[in-house]
Amino acid sequence: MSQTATDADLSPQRGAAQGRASGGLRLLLSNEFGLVVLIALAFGAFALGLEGFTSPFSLFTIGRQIGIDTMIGLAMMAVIVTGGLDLSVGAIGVCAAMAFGWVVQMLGLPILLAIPVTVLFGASLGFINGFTVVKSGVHSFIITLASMSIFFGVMIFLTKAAAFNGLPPEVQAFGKMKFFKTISPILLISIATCLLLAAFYKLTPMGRQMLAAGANPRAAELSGIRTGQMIVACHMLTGALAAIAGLMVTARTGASVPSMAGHLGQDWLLPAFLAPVLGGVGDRHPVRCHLCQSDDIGPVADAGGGVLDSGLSGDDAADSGAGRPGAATVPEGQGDDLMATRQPTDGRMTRAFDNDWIGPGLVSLIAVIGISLFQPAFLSSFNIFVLLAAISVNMVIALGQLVIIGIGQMNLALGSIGGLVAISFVGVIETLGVPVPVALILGLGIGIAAGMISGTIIARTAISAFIITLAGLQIFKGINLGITEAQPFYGVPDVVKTFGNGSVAGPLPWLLVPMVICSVGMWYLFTRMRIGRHILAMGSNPHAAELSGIDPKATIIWAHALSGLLAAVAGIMLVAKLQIGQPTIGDDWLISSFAAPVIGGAVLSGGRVSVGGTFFGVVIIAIITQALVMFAIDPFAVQIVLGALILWAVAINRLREVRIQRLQARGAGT
Amino acid sequence: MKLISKAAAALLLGTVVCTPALADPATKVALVPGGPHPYFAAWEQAGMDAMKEFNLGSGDYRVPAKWELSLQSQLLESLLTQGYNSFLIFPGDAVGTSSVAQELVDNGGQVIATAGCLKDPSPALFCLGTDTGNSAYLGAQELIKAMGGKGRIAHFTGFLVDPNTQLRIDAVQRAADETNGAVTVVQVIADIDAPQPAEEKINAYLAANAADVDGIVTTAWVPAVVAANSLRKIGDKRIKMVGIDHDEVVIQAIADGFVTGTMLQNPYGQGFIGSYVLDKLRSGCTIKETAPWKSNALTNKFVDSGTVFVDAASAPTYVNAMVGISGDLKASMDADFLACP
Repeated sequence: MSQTATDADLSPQRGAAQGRASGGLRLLLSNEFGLVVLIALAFGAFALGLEGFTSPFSLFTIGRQIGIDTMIGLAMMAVIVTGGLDLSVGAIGVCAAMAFGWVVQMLGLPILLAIPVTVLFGASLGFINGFTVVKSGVHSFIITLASMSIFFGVMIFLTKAAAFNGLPPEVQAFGKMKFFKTISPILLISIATCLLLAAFYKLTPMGRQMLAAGANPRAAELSGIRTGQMIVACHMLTGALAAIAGLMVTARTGASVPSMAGHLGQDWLLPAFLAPVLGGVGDRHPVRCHLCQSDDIGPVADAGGGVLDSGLSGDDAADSGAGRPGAATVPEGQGDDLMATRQPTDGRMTRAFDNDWIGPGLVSLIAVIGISLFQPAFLSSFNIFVLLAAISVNMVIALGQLVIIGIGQMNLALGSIGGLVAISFVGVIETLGVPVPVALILGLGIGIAAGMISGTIIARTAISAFIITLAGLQIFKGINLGITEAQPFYGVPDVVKTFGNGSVAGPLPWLLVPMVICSVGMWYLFTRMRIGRHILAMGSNPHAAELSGIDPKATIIWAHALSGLLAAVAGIMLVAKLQIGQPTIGDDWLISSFAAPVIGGAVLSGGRVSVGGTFFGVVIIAIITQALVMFAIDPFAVQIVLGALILWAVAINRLREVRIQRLQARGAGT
Repeated sequence: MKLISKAAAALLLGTVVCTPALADPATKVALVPGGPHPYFAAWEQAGMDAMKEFNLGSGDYRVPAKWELSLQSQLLESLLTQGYNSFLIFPGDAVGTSSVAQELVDNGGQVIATAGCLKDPSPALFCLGTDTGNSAYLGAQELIKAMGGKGRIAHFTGFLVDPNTQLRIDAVQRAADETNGAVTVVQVIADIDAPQPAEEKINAYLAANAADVDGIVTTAWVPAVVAANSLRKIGDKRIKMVGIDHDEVVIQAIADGFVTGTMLQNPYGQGFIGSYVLDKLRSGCTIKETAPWKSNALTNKFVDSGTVFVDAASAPTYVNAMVGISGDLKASMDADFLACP
């Protein structure tokens, strides 16, 4: 998924190599063979180095966990093959498990009847996702971000987080069942599901239609495939598989537990993404935002085909340099000219509103006015200060992800880099007495180095950025915990505390300064600097970008170094704001770092970003967060309201887009 | 860490004097929290001290990389296969951790739910920890007292998926209800046991409502730290606050008058005495049928490891209070709970 740039770039070469190879060599070159070798090596190493690793109990528990994680991965795979994402996969799994607990424990439904009911329930939640994605034309990332909050919120609201622990003993007995002392039936079910799905995709018309819809939606439409229906079906399949995964965890724990997948079901996200990506699913089915747009729904800009508000899309950059290998692709400072050539010709008003930031900006304005009417304290000086301080930090975090989204990748290590820099910054001040400026340079250097390491490995090995940054997440977090032992550093100097909590003037916090510098810098980078446009060109069409003379490796390394730098800035800003070096800084950056850029119009497959849109995406999230507190929403209903507000914000933006498209269509017709 | 060191030294001194050498070097204790958290830092020292003091095979503090139920379960299963046979576990979930605890017991291990309880029925020998609901209730009572028996309270707490959160919400509400309307809980902000959301939501709340609230009670570590800092930032000593745990920020805020007090728990005592009891049980001791268990909302086999309210007056000597509680707890274990041959 996050591999779209580099893999798309490399796939022709790989394909040609494989085409020339014999059957045996083809097997050796395959992704699956590489994984088998990796697993064998890891197993051997653990068997030799870890006491008891090969004991029957150990093999049983490992196999059972593999079975559960496989089912979670399959659930995500079912939607990834359509080019979508489903952040709500964990929430659906938990909701389904809780529904199972309710119908069995409270309604007394027999287990064998409750299981299909639960799977149907999961599929129906998936249907809600798929239907909303198709009908709204909004990327599944945003829809499932909202539904994750709503599904989980409704579950928490109804159950008050109380588990169903009075299930029949057969449930737990199934979780503990062993064949030959080592094999869990959960593992066998997952293997069987893998085989069934493989047969489904290869042998049935519907399976092939799903794959066709994911591989090339336009061609699929022209071939008579109803891509909209396929997308809904894929989301339903995801929901059903997530429900089975929830049932597996229920069998393992012997109870339906709301915390089985953590807050909002987010604990499942990493295994959900990791398994399909390791298995190469994302290589063949890159994430698209336009996938769900069939003609009868209404067009939306293609991935990478639009124009960013800063004046450039990746296609422009690549196209302009085609045929000039080794040469600069786009002369610096010509981003606005390129934007002009792509502007619609249907009137000034349409042009004025054809920017990614306008929609989120309007939503932000409406929200500010609305909240102020009901809660005048919203516009108090202190509240504006609080709001701006939160926006400042979150904007820098979002920019750190934005630059990687621009290149068509994801940086899962963003938060762990920020956290490592945060504790390093305070740690050297507290333990070594290093002056603040030196600690600052050191912290920023760590961020850049961490990003460069990730970028270099990605560029040199062509391994998915998702996997490399996932490994980075674990390593940087491990270093963090190794240094701190989960204990905060308290020695934040007063000057740093003042910076994080003082104001330049009135309600304007000092934290605005680094945010403005970073935002303007990123805007300048994307519009006026060669590297910025190289990043977008790579994200839009890596193959064309490389043919145009762009160095893909250098561009990837640059992008990740920049992302590491921004993560470092955000980490240090948070230390200043929190007045403490908390080891948990960065733990919760992941989803918000994606949400703001995507709300702001960024395309996850790369090539299209908007600094202005991202800013207003951050503003919307901050305002919603504040509104939930200000209006004293019941804590058990907060997640429901949060999800609904995200949908509301996206819906307003979507209405604006549809209106512009109609105006454009009308203009083109005259 | 100063608290841990002092408490450790005092407890060790008492143990050397009082404990006969019945240790079993085959006792391999693992102290496993739900995830990385400052509260559990004392467990590492407690485990090392117990290993040294009681001649255990090991007393290792093992932390899951993330606060994630499945990660904790996998870690526990792995520790079992590595030969650990005695477990002090903070349950990642009061219900969800039971099955893995049962697996440990089925394979010869023994488990004490520590710092948090498993919901009955469970395979744990008993629960050694703070009665979270009672601690929140007592904290709220102290707050109400500081407010002069009337006013409006805001309650900042942890994650809703933790069933203890509901217990805390109910306990604070119960304390307010007992005032017959003189005190009202005007807002509960949950899911903020992480620094960034805590900072954003608590500051947003105070920005809009500081003038309308008279007291704050926090029942999770991070919200306590953030709220203490926020009150210091706005310089408001009119709003009374009772926090939880012994973070330096909270203790300093008590000394400076921004926070009324905090409900201290006893993590070192839990780790040290829990390891001691597990070793005793492996060495042939049994638990008396007449053991004076307490009850809480989760279990009927509860041993309170102690909770103390510390205010500005008692802050300088709070370490002594905790040492005293731990000493009493160990003596009680020997006298009332353990039957040794």
